[in-house]
Amino acid sequence: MKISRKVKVKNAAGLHTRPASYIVQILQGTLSSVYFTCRKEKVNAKSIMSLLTLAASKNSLITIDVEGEDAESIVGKLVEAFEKQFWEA
Amino acid sequence: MANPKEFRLQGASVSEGVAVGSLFLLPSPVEESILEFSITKSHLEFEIRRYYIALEKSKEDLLFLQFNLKKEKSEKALEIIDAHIQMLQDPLMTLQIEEKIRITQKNAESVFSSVIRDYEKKFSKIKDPFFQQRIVDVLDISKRVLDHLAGKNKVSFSDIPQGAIIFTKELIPSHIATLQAARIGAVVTQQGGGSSHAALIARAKGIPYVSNIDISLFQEFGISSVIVDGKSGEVIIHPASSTLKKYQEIKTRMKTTYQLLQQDLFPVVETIDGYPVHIYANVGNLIDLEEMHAYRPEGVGLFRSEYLFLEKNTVFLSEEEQVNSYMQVVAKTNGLPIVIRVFDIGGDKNPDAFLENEKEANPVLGCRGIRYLLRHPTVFRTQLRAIMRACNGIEAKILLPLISDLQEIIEAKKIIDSVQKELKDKGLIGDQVFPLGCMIEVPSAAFLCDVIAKEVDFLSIGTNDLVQYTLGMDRSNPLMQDFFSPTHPSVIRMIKMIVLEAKKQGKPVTICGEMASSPLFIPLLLGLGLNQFSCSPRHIPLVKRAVRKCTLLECFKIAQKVLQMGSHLEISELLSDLADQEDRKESSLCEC
Repeated sequence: MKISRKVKVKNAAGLHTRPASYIVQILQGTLSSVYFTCRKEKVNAKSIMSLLTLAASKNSLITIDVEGEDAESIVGKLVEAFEKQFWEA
Repeated sequence: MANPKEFRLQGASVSEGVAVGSLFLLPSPVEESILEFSITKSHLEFEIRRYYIALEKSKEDLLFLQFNLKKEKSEKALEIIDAHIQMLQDPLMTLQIEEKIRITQKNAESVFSSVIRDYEKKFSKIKDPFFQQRIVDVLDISKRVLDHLAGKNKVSFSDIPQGAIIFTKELIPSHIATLQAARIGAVVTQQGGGSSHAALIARAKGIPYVSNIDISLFQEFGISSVIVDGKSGEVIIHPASSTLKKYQEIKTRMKTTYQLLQQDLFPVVETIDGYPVHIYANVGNLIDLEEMHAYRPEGVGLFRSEYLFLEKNTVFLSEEEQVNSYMQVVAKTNGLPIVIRVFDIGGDKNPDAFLENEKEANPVLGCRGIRYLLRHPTVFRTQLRAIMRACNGIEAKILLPLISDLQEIIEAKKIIDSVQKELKDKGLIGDQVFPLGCMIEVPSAAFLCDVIAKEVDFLSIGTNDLVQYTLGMDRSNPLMQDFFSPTHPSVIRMIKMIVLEAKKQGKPVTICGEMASSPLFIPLLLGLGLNQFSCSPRHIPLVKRAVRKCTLLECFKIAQKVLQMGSHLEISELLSDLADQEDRKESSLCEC
């Protein structure tokens, strides 16, 4: 299965260390490939270093591309995390 | 069995005091260069395994650190370490390193550090300073892994036995700030001059410190007993029993005198002729703040906010985290007024953690103090918000570091006003006024004192930097030790000018450099018209005693005399002679 979804970074500090670390945790052990694209730069979301180099600040738009068997549940979790501002608000 | 013979090494005195203890060699914190060499094909798998073992060991370190932090309930710190563990195990990075070792057939250290350098470059291209600073985390984990690859045993300060005498190549401020006066006996280093920040902290904490000693001499000897004489700069190895006895006596005598002085606990001091003098404390962390009360200052004259964060190795803390820290600070002042100097980042206080990506050829003349804050308004605004929120309802003043131009004050004021308005609009603070002060530590600011005094509510003279910039001498350079002196006539004349111009504008001046901590300079400073001193807590009793021995008229005469002198040696001599006379008077009184 292949899913693509657009999300907005809503938390004040952007996709900084803690949210990036949270995303990597969610994705640990998942089978699908997960990519984030921001300002035309595409990175592997399972790599915290790559997520941080995206430097996605508040209000950045990110396209999430997930491909694999568990794509649906992964997208659900990711969208919720972005929506809830990584529980930082 | 014959005892090894006593021998003495002459170094430079950095911080006075005497310690007797056992030697403890601390591996140098300064990065050594990484060698690159080829690996034979048959050893490649072994080399890759070595890399993974280093990763595993680094992870164990971090888990252990987390285990300790859990006791302190520091959520944020735990999360940061979680992120560090993920960085270590980053699947892309580890794979890339493994492949690169195979392809280039080079050793793990060189491959690992070249990959880290690539990440460093990537981060340095990011415009947002917040993300750019994540490089700090990358460098932190990289150092950990490289240490394990080198098979180095990490020594932490908590492993050092009580009373030990630390021998190390060089101390960095974040290290020494965590040293407790009670824990270690003394410090001996190869590099680092008398005016480096590490030296200031050692003196403030009363840790004897001698520099310019060749540490390599000690690498191989099993030396157990050492005496450090911080005053003479002598380090005595294998002391004979007669020497030991002599130094034990000196130690006891010093302790008794200090204890007597400490009983002098009136917060208000006057000269003999009734001129009131205000004494405040310079503090840099919570421990200083706690200890400060024993010496009864009138308040905190200088809170060096950067040290609080140096210990955590980053200033890029969130607003909430900072509010939390300042609240703790405020709670520990027990209601005394406080002057908070905003982050003075840069110069020699700049461990790697702070550095911007552009390495500066002359950091002391570069982007430090207010220059840094104005270039990084997010850092500045976050700190201001946190200070104002935490100090809501208490007497707090804000102090700007390293001002060299009027425009900097005007810009800083704009930012401060807008932050204050923003917080007020949100209902987070009331109508409180935060008086604003300006550090005078660059000659240009001293010359502009009249116009600067119009813009701010008070001035604070930082003599350490003022001497460094006036004389054009690096204060941490041991070769400059004999010349770097606050008694230089140019410095004294400058202080006189600052005091005069501030008085004309009706603005108070505090002196908060090391000069204010030394009883030797007190008569001169009083004579130059200063009556507010801020010094490290343990020097307060000494300064109070010095003030009580002065008459203002005498002090004016001394200042007049000094202002006519042209050489710093002449001035130093005059001041020491005066101090000796006082000491003689005192001892004759004791004998009566």
